[in-house]
Amino acid sequence: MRSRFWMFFPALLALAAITLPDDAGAQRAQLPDGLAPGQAFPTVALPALDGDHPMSVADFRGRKVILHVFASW
Amino acid sequence: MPGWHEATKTLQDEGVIQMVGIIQEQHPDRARLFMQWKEMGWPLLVDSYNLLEVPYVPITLALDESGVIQRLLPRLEDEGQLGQDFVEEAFGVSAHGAAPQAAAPDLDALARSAHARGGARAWRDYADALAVWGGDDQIDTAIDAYETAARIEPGDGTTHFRLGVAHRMRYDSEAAEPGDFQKAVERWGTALDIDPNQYIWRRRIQQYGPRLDKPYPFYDWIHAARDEIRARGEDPAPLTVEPRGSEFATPAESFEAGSEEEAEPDPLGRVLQDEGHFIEVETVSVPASVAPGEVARLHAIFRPIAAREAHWNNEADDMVLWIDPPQGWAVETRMLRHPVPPAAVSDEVRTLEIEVRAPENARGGAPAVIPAYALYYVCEDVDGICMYRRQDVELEVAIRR
Repeated sequence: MRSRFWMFFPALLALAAITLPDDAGAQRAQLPDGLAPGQAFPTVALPALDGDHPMSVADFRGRKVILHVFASW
Repeated sequence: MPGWHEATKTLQDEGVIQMVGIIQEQHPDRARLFMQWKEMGWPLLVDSYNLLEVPYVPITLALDESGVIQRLLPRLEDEGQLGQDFVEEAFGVSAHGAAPQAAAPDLDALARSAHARGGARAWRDYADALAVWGGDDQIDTAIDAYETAARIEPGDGTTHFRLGVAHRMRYDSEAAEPGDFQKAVERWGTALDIDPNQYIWRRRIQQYGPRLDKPYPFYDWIHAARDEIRARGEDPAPLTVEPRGSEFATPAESFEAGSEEEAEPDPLGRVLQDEGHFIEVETVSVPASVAPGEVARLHAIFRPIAAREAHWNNEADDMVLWIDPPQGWAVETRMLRHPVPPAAVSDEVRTLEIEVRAPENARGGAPAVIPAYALYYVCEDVDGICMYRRQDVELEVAIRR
């Protein structure tokens, strides 16, 4: 049986389309082509905030990942 | 994001889900403080240069075990604990191959390729690799490489943005060069002119810009965060660059010119001039240029000159900056004050910020100059003579044609 979360998932997605752009203005910009469902997340190496060596999201393969691209502002 | 953290705590604790963050900020250690405040301990990657080329934040994605994006997830506020149903729906069953892991690039090979091929993309790739793998020691080389790429392909907003990030990074480092902050603002402005829908680029200017252009105060949460962290008995994560001024300023809907109640502190110019002997001054306009009638936020940055062991004397009055706007220019206030810190002496960088509105009939061309002067107490060396000095400052604002 589906959870209550997924019953409301389409509505949440619609809400996200409205609320996400509080950081993107009234006209929501499109995600880059490489961030569409079904595509591998780009293996861009980035500095680790608390590590000596750059990492990429691919370093977490083998795990189910919820990835947040964010800013603290 | 804290909503997703709360809702998946059980799944995280059971090892079902791994949370990962990618920070799109100029100063990523501020995100570390945010994470500490919200008691979120997962790994963070730093994308100050926006190598991912995301147009806005936040973006939350579900990636399966192969690193394949399964879903774009909505913002989550208070959903209660999510369980296996969520996992199955969000992540599905991957039929894709594993994503390749990133490997350290050969910087020398990238440099040779850039020189040999001479294309903008080769130079930008080299600069990107230096930005990620080269560390602070390579920031000059990264700036040179981005500049070369921008010169070859001036219409590439991404290169301009990253060049601006690199300049601001150097500005915040020991290797800072005069003009780095202003160059950062100029490059970000060029990038945004090329693509006005890129909100990561826009936010970088707004972080330092006028209140009229701000969507929210960027770092006003920091005081509450530190208080709550200390109340828990922890030490707040340190910041390499303290946010200030514009980074705390609240948005405004209109420009309010100040009243002229303050008396000019040195109208006859009787206070002896510093003339840059003890304190050096740098000024920055954000944005780098304005149209007639638009507002700029001007930063006047004062640094004691280390070679002379100059330092502030804090036993007397506040440092002040008096602004004398030309005809037609409006200012928030004519007198800015920088409160003295508790220590008797100090050598910190002091920044004073003022917002000014250009006249409706301002003409483009040479930058407009807004005269100002600072008055401060400064000492020549640790046991040396302390003096009250004046330094004249020219606050420049470029007017767009």
